[in-house]
Amino acid sequence: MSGPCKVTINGRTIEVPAGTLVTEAARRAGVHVPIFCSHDKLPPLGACRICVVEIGMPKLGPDRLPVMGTDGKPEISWMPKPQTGCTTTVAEGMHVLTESPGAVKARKGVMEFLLVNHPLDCPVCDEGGECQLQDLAFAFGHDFSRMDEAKRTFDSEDLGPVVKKEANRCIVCMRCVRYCDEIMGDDALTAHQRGVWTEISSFNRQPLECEQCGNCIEVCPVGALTALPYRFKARPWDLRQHVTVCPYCSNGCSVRLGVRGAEVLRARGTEARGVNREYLCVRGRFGYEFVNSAERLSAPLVRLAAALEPSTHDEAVTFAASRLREIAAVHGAASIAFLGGEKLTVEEAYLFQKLARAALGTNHVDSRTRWPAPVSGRAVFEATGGGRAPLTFDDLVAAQEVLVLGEDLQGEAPFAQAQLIRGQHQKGLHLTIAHPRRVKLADTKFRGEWLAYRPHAEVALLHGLARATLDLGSPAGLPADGLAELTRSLAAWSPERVEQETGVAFDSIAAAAQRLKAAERKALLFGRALTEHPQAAALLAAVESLAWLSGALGPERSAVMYLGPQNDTQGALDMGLAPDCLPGYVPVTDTERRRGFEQAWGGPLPGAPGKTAVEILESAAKGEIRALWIVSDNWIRSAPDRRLAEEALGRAELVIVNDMFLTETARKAHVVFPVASFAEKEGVVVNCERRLQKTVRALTPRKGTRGDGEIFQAVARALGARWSYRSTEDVFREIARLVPGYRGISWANLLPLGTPWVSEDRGQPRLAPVTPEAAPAGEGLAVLGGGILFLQGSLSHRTALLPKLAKAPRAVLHPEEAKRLAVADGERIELEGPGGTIRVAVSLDARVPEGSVFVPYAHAEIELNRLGKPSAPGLKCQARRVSSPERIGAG
Amino acid sequence: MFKELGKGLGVTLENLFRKPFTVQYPEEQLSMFPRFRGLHILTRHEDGLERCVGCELCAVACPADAIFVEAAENDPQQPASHGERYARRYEINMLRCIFCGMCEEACPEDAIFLEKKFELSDYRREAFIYTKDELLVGPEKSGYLPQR
Ligand code: SF4
Ligand code: SF4
Ligand code: SF4
Ligand code: SF4
Ligand code: FES
Repeated sequence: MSGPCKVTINGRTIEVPAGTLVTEAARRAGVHVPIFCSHDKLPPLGACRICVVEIGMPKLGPDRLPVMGTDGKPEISWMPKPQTGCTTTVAEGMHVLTESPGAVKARKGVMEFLLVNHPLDCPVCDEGGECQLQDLAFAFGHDFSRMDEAKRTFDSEDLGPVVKKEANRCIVCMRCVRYCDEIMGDDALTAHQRGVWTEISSFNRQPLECEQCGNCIEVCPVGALTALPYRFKARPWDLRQHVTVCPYCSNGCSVRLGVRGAEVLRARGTEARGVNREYLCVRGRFGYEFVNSAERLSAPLVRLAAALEPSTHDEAVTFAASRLREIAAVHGAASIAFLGGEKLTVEEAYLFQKLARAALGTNHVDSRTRWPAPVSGRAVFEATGGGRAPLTFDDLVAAQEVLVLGEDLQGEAPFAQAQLIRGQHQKGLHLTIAHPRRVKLADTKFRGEWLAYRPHAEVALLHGLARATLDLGSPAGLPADGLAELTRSLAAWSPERVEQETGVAFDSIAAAAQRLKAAERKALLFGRALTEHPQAAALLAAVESLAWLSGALGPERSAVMYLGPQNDTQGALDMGLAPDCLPGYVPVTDTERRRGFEQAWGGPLPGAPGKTAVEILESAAKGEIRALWIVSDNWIRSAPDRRLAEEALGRAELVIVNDMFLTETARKAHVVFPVASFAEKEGVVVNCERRLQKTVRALTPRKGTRGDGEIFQAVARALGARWSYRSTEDVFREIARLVPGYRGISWANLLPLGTPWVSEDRGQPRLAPVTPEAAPAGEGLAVLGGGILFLQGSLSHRTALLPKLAKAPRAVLHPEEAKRLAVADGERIELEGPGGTIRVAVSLDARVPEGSVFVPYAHAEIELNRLGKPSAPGLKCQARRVSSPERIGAG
Repeated sequence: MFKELGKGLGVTLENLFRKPFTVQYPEEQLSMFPRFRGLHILTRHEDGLERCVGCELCAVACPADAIFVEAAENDPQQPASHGERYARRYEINMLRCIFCGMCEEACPEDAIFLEKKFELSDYRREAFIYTKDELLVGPEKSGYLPQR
């Protein structure tokens, strides 16, 4: 049945779509029906019965028409017993009473039953003050108990390092169990026993070996599950709560920070706001601690002589500006480069490149510090469909077919993974995971297809996919010459050759292409595995062609999503932190469009594209680039080649670093500006849906720190630029005036959740011919880098919990490979790459393919870039067993 | 006229020989009425453990926002209170306190009472922030609950 239904709730008639639940209809009618077990992301269960209401339908006569009462209204035949509103869908003409004596009595009865065994220990329960049971007991419950038996009791348990379980308080709503199963895909919790003895715990009653996301805690309506890191820290009424955006990955979840005094005490999901609502991954929920760290820098450091000495902001600004001016005067502006910025807000990123381009006159600006090959700043923009309306998380969960290209979403984009798992469980989404390792989503329990391509065979796989899609016919509207050329160049990639290079049966590739093409609602996801690849340019072009061929890119909409490495990777690119793009992806070479910026910024801008990050790395190591400004990036760790980065920092005449901590990179700097954390500044960040979201100032900045934007403005003014932004909003207003795609966006509309930006700059469908040759494979083990769930970047290392959860760093080998190398689990190996060696203990796992070694790059101890810059098609290394017991991770 | 004079003098004389009302404070101390509300105490159970569990209900009930509580988890070997939670810090700012007794009323554990002590002057403002060790009764008063 479809179409709207008329329902009357407490005498108010409203129209809701058929299939709406009674509780939801009541909410729309402005009537509050209490709930415990029902949750909008979970299917109805009806476990707790608190939502009981009286429901009636019009009485039908023998002629199937409503019987009219004496008052001329249809007679209602009431169901003999109260019904649960959260499991009943509305029907035409339905009548619902939520406050009738019968409904109230039933609800009171349910409340009494729920409290029969409840310990009522609110004073010592962390949920107290924001507990739904407490609120409802207050609203509906009795103030005495008729229960005089002893209450049933369980022992409390620590289910691992984050979940504390106090089963006495559990009302067996099963939200935690269902959430963990259907949305986390972890299935880590279960209900033991039956009836009053039902107890939630892990299956084996051992500590949970799960994602440690704490979402079970979040959805528990009572205090049965509470967070150990927040245990007894504060009461909800002590906290100032601020909704801001998570500082970790590109999903841009909204987090609600709880602040007491000058400390962030917890982070939670939001109930009804943000892309994620209640969801947070372990990093978002427990990774805020770096804000409170005592190790944060609190004064600028300047290297006047040999050592970095604490200084004042004014001195540091003057020093930085005068050195920049000197270097520009002697060696030209092209000897200055600006790096990093994926963690800046949009406004800060805008000022950063404006400083480089307008105040100094250099186009050497790049936020993509990890990319090992030079790629145009527009490549990702074009691969994701230019300014077309982007794919959102709501689209993702409702998609029929999703193809994930080379990305381990668990490590890089946990919320995207949760959306996919939910779609798979609840909405018939089908997953195709192309990844050399059997990552979580490739697990058979998600019933997807795993394209286990050989390590470093991304190019062959994408060409195979493109070819198979092309064989299905091409959609209308693609350029004929491009299509012809692509067809010609793809001829070199015969099915046999693709099969041989990828190790995946061509039939599977063809089936994946077929599914993607046939699906009406689809999504194509890619991320660092393709962009931080030595052949990134070819891969991004191939993604673009595949997307056009399969219909993932259409004239109006894009179903391609780029999952960047940081919370504002997208915003940094949007704001022109790329050597060949001005903000809004305006090419620097486009004289016409550049003029708009020149007029607004009051001066000529360099018209030749600058160097990309990896080119800057190389020329700085050679001494051609003499000054580096590195922002929110521990470059020594993130640059593709550690040795080159060290050389570059050693040779540079001026290194300026903005950071919260004295990182390895900051130690090598001449000026270090201490900056405010994400919780201390206001600004806009852009997530992978290209959604603009405003962060708020939950805390006043730590004494001695400043926002990056303030520092850029101070230096620009010291360099003689006439900048006079009084607030972040001023900067955003300028952006909204100048930058295509951001034009006309109002700062005031960005809370709670902005919209994804779209622009007129859509570009025509583009099909680039592919290279016929494959890169020679090289000798040795293929190194598979990859993120892990528990750590992301240097900020996560500054928390107490995350490194503990991540456990000791391990390189992972297939058992067969380990046999070949004669290493056992826990023993250490030395990996030798083109640039150097690292040593690390191994663990064995058959989910990693033979012929490769998986080295997670997120651990502080693993300095993967010591192995050197990868060359096409990927990094290879020689592995040896190390016999002597030495410190793990030492180079 | 003399009659009136005598009457007035009579009152004077009568009062002259009456036991005086005036208390020679501070040499002498008055005993307070049973429901007098002065400085708070934090009480102990019979076994000497603190009654306060650090629930902060007193703090949220306090209309003057005078109470600060920071809870922590008990060390099971050496618990400070019954159960898992206790108040690691408990502070009352007596410059803010208006002696309304709401904290006492809010406390689910009978842990806080306004007792008879009212001599709360000092030269330093900091001294008016009464900390837990100043408020908590000694172990010899374990089990003591003021009668109201
Ligand atoms: S922490 Fe997350 S993954 Fe672990 S049991 Fe709870 S919901 Fe499941
Ligand atoms: S632990 Fe919480 S969420 Fe889980 S069943 Fe019990 S009350 Fe529900
Ligand atoms: S999924 Fe990403 S944005 Fe969301 S909480 Fe986790 S790290 Fe933060
Ligand atoms: S004194 Fe009473 S109300 Fe205040 S924190 Fe302690 S137990 Fe709670
Ligand atoms: S909310 Fe309806 S039965 Fe639990």
